[in-house]
Amino acid sequence: MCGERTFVKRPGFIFVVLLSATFICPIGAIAQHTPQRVIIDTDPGTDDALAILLALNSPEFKVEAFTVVPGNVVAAQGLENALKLISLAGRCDIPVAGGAQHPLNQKLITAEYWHGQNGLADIELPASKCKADPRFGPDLIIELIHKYPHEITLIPVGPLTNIALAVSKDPSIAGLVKNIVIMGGSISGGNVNGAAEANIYNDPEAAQIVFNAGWMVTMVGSDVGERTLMTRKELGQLQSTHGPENDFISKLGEFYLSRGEKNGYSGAAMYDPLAVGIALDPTLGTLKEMHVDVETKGEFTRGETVANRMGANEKNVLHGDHYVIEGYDYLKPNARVCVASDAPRFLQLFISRIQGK
Amino acid sequence: MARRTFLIDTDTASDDAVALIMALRARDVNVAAITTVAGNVGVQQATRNALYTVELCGARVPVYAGAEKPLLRSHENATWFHGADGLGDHNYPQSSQRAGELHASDAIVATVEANPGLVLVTLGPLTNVALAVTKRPDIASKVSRCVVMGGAPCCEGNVTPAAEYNIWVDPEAAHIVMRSGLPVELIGWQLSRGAAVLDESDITKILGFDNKVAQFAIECNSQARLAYKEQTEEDGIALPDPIAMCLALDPSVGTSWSEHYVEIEASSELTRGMTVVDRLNVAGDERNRLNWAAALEGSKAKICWEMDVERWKERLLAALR
Repeated sequence: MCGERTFVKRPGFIFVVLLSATFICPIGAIAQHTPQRVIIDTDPGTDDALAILLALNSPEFKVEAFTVVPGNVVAAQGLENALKLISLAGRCDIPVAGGAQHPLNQKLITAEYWHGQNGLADIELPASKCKADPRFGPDLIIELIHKYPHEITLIPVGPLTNIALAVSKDPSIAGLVKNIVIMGGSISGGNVNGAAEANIYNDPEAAQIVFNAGWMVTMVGSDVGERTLMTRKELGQLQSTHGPENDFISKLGEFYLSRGEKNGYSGAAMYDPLAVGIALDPTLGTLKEMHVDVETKGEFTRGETVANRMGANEKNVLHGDHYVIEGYDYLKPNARVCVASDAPRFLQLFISRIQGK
Repeated sequence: MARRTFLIDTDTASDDAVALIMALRARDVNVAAITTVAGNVGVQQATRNALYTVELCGARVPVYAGAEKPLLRSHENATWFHGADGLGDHNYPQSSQRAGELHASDAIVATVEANPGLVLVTLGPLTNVALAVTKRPDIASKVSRCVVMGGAPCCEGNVTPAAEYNIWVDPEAAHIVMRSGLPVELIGWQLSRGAAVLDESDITKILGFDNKVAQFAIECNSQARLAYKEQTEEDGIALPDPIAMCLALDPSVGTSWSEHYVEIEASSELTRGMTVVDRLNVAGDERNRLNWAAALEGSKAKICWEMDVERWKERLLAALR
């Protein structure tokens, strides 16, 4: 990834950086000519709406499909919301497909508390002119990855149910995507409880499947989203300009920001849009390679993304009646964990893409 | 007699092959499709074994390959029991038929849609069925019976003290299937033990039929017989999958059945894959309600506790004659 910061020391690293510097960095300049193909898997959702409209207004991207997963709202509401958003952006050419109806192994937990009864801040968007694609979301993901091998960036910003179903049905897709950037998890406390972030908490089994599918997951967690806040200042910028999408986001931002303020935040956490931002420009985040597993069992920690920051587990060997530490077992990283964001630059990018639209 | 339609999901190794033979040779049964899953052996080997068995029986049944591994866990095979190729390593040739294009989970959906009311028989881990009902929850109500070889509802397991192999390998998938609304009939491993094991005289009788299918049924279980003796100290061929098929073909061979809520343990490592059966029907009691709430919303499974061993063996021998 161009300009990606990683702190893992290994011999291949220097080569990768040189290669990136030589071949990949100029992408910034040619982005307009070769947009990145992306699929967004979403449970819209207020911040999903921000993410979707950011993606649709970014020339770096060619959005190949939206797939909808239950999460913030139930599956049917999510599909309706996605279709309305795509219609608002005038992009009925992009397929929008439904997917799983519920998490793999547990009941769904919806978040109307945060997102409004309809999931979109109770703003009534006009009826969608777009029609849902009849394909099953996970099958559409598989189909598109095979159609464009090594070109698709998956951006799941909801529970990982659809992605888990896709990679369980066809494990080969893990080696055929260009990248996968998720909004989910946290390596420093959750937003649901002490341990877990909402997307992972809503389907921990699916998340564990996705983290261990064999691809490098770029993880943009709630801990970073909560430090990437749209404040009154940025909202004011958006409210000073107009356009159908711009005006919708101004209203939605007002709801989302007030809800955040009521709950002790000084702004609106840009969870999902930040994942889209980091997919389009990885230098907006500080990424560190780690091995991440998802706790699926703990009474207090179910749904926690457990990140190994030292790249190893102590090796304990049984000697007689007790264990003795004999060095380390090294772990292969499976994730690039975003540990910080360049919030001001991201927010200005977001505003610039939405203003006047 | 009107022909019944069966759909069989299998991790085809030695006892699966015998179960397939029973279904393929049942005159009143149309096997609409066979789907394969990673379990006893890898999914490619299972597919090859299923195709070979179909060809040996002179049947024309489509075979579809499915999941390469359990949903969440790494794949743990049972080649120590069934042999490296799952069929006792006798170098059976490759079938001239090939697997169909569809993924097994889609083949399950399509076959159920085309044959509402069919009988689904599962002989392996439940990964394919879990994927199918997750994609299309509505198929559950179109299956008349879902006969599952799996679990050890009363007793010790065959892979851990708590769990039977098929459920243990993919407990998350089993959990999905138990919650799916499929009308599950659970045929536990323990039914294949003791008097149900084919002893020397049964084996001699079968080999005396002097046909290639009967020969194959015994020969492909050579490694399994040795492994079973090591595991249980019982001598003979234990056939859990054919017993499930026998009960799918004729439920009256089961002499004691009852319906209960069943939970699959997926959180504990010690009891991973245990089939926890509410045999005393206490799941709804105040002290149990919290842990059993989700199961109580679903449907009960039918558990077979005992069977008529003589009739089981008659049924098997009739299929191999």
